[in-house]
Amino acid sequence: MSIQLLDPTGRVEKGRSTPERRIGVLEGKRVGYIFNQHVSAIAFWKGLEQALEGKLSPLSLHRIYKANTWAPAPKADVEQLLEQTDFAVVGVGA
Amino acid sequence: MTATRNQETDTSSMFEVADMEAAVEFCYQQNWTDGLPVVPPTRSAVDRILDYLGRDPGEVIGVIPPGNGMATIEKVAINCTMAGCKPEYVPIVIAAIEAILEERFNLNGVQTTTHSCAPLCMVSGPAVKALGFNTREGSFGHGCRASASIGRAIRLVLWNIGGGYPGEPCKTTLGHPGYYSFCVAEDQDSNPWEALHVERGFRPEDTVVTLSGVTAPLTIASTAGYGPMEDVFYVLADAISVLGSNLLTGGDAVLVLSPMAAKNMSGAGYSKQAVKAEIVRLATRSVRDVKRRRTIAESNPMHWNKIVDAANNDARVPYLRDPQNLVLLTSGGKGSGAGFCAVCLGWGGLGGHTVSRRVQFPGSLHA
Repeated sequence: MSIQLLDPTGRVEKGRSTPERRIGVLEGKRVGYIFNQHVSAIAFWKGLEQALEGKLSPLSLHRIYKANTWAPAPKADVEQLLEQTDFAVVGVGA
Repeated sequence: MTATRNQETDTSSMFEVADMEAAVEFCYQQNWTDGLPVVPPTRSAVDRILDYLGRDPGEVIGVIPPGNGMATIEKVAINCTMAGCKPEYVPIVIAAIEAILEERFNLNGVQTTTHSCAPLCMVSGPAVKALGFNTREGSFGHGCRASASIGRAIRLVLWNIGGGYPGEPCKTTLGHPGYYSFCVAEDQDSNPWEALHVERGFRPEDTVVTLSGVTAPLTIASTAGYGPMEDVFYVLADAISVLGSNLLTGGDAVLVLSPMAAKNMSGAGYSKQAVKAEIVRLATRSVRDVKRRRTIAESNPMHWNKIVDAANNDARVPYLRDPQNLVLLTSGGKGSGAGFCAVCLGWGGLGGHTVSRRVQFPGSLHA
């Protein structure tokens, strides 16, 4: 006699997302940074910010440096960053 | 071997296989197991659990990271079936899942970190006896269906619903055997102090799960059978304050005291809080030592330099920043004079912080 098995995996709710507007040029825009502050990337990140700012002459800068590298940045902080920037550079991983 | 996709239930697809042997192999093929064989999740076996729970199978307990699968009552019941749980074990699994979904546990981080921390489920309260947990010899290990299958069910939920597969997306460098099953129960008969859950604000008549994201147990010969308590505390604290531990960033440790150790501490006049205070006081290393362990960026708020003068090489860096960061549990066999205990070190300030949840049984155990 055959056996019927139930699938143990969880359904993943697919969130709806709309594509963000493309930015024509990066120069002179409001730039955001979200950096996880991983110890292995501190020097790299500092250099990256300097290089970007030298090249793009941003209108303004908005930084989120996460207190906990291994947890998401506070949602409210990210929402504020979204309002105050045209694009953001996000540093994840190690 | 072939399997046929069959009718859809409300929330779960169904597959048809030829026989029991094929069912076990099919579960392997689908990557539904942690590496060990599972009990095939048949409709009737899952329904036994659902009937016991009396809850809507589609009720969502939460979303399990990192894959963000929805943990419905039915999905949890399926995974509990596969782990070998009796229906009456399942409320404990549900409470454990609810607990680790609390934000402070940072389950996404625990699941994906390169560290080797896994959720340790500590059960305390009347269900320990009622459901037959082994709290004596080998309480962390093999030989007891309740702790083995409940611990495994939690893992299978993290695996099948959360998509917590090693490699992608979970980066644990080594893992440990507790990734299969990691559950231990408190022996209140041997515990000279208040139960863990009472200490954490629950009623004595409650059954509670307390979970911490921790490494594998390190056995400590505390010498509690014959040593003066000052030395016993020193030995226990030494096992916590190791340079390789992430506790330098904060966070929790679980210390499991064998009944003999707990009894002799109590007999020497130490309350539970006094034991914790003493171990917290002693679990330190010098700044000189700790500087050799480059944990996190010096600018990070969790860095120990925020609580100790980093310029003073003789200053002591605490591994447990508060007595609340030390979870004390009494469990295990009588042992020998060596007074074996075990410590499980946490992930640090990064997550896996201790969380507790009352278990809600549908029947007579608890209303």
